Amino acid sequence: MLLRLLGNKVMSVCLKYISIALLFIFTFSLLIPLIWMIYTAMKPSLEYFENSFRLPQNWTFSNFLTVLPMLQIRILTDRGEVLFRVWDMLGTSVIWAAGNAFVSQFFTLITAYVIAKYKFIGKNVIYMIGIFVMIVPIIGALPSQMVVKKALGIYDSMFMHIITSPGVCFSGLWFLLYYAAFQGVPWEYAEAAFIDGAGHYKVMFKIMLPMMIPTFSAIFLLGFLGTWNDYNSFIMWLPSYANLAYGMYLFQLDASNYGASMPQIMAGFIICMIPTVILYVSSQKLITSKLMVGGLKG
Amino acid sequence: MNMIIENDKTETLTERSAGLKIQKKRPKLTKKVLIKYGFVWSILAYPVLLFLVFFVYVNFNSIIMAFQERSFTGEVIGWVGLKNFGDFIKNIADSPLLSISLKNSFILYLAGLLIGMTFQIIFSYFLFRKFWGSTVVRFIVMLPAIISEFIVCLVFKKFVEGALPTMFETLFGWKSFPNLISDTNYTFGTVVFYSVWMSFTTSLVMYPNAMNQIPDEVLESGRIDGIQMGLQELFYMVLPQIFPTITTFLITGFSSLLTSTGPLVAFFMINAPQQAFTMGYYYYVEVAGSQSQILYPYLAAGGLLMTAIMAPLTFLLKWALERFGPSQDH
Repeated sequence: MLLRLLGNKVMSVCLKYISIALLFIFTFSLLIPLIWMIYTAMKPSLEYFENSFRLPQNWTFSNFLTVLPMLQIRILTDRGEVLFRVWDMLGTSVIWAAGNAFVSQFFTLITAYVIAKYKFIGKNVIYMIGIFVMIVPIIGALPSQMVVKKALGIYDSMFMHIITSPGVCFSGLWFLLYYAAFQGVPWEYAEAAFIDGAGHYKVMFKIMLPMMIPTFSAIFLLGFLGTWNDYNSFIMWLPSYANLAYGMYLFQLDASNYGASMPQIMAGFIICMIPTVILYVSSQKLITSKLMVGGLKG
Repeated sequence: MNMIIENDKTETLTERSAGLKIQKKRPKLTKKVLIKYGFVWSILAYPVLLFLVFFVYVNFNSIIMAFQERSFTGEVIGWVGLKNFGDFIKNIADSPLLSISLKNSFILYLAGLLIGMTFQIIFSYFLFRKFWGSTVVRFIVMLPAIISEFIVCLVFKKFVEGALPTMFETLFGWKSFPNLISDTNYTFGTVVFYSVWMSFTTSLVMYPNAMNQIPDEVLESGRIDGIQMGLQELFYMVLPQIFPTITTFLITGFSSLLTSTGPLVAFFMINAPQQAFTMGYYYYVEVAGSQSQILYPYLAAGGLLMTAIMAPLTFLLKWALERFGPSQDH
């Protein structure tokens, strides 16, 4: 009956405009808290306490200046209490985001290349294991992960976390994206290079991987942006470290102890998001053009 | 004699009296083949090692742990057979926390599926059809990903706690608007709202991209057959074409049903009210929020039980979607 209704022209037009109206309402709802964040950051603290929703009567940028020296947290580690200032947290963020994104994406890329382009014993088994790992839900492995990471010295070590960040390289959406991309690359380029005497490594690094630079860049940027905002890993696995996201998270959670008001917290949020906004805006076309999710077969 | 030869396959002759077999051709171990295998396995060595340690061994260890009793510091005290499994099953009925967590996990998933996915696909269609204002809408929808979903989550929390009651008072004179996050009557509802609300941001990029891959001729042929542009075209023409993408989201969403924490960690760290717990959050709190490993075997047993139920269901869902889903054939 619904499909017959959709065939009715009047009903179809009504449903179309209702759907578009709902889409606009949803879009506007996304803007409300963000607009509130921006004008609250430019509101004096006293005005905020009088009315937390109203527009500022006296617009000010002082919150951005006063929050920076406040944005520091103390973490209890094995080495004693460590103070993380905003620049320390910024440095940790850069290393964590860039390291994780590069290491995990690089190993996923070369794994996808080998599985897509080479025939070898075990190839299909590895591919099917990757699909299996993607689909099958493993629940309750967190306690075992904690035990294993502590035993291997990965727990509370940023370096070890970065080098083990790839996880299961032949599984996941990024692997499937790279795999599909490599399948579309003609093997004739490699064959010509083999004829000229190039080895497998040379073909991979000098011919095949350079073709993937746009896709790799897009996925690296997405991985970087995602890991930049990762605070979960610091709560769970890296209690002695603090990146900007984790620092900001603790700061806003315990703002009164840091003497920070809501306008200053909002100013802190805006400062934290500046690097990611710049990075995203400058690479927006690259990211959105390279993302398409297909189906899971097998 | 009739012989069927296919590349590298062993074939037995259909006529037994002939008694001949075609042997499988194995690649000869030439230097070239050895170099190729050396290269392949040098690339795969580290990924395979990571898989063996962080997937195979972690899960194997989880299975072993489920039959143990452990001390506060994690030393194995003894083997307890199926006791941990029995305790977990008993607690699902007896423990309010576990039963609420399980119930909330299903509610969160169903809300995302029935409300979220339905509107995501409808909205994506209109973005694909580039209605007036769609470029602006596309940009705004991407904002949480640009700014960082983490910051958006914290801003949402501060807005709901700090400004929303004042907004209703200022605009509508409503003086007793509740705090939708700290008031436990509304906490879980707010969590569900936020999860569904935020799920649009990724989907409204992925689905339109998938729709853009549909050949124009396919949609044109639909219009020639009398299908009108609009929701009719969406149901008859577009949905079948993007069904593989929908399948991917359905399967990955279903498989994370019992591991999802929603925005609970961002909102509360490990201090969420019990009424808002999900199963994923319950596990998170027990592992991240405690130095003790006493409960690890119990949690491992519970995880195994839930995996034993969810894994076959996920494969069943995948099979059903592939078997009964619409065909993409043009």
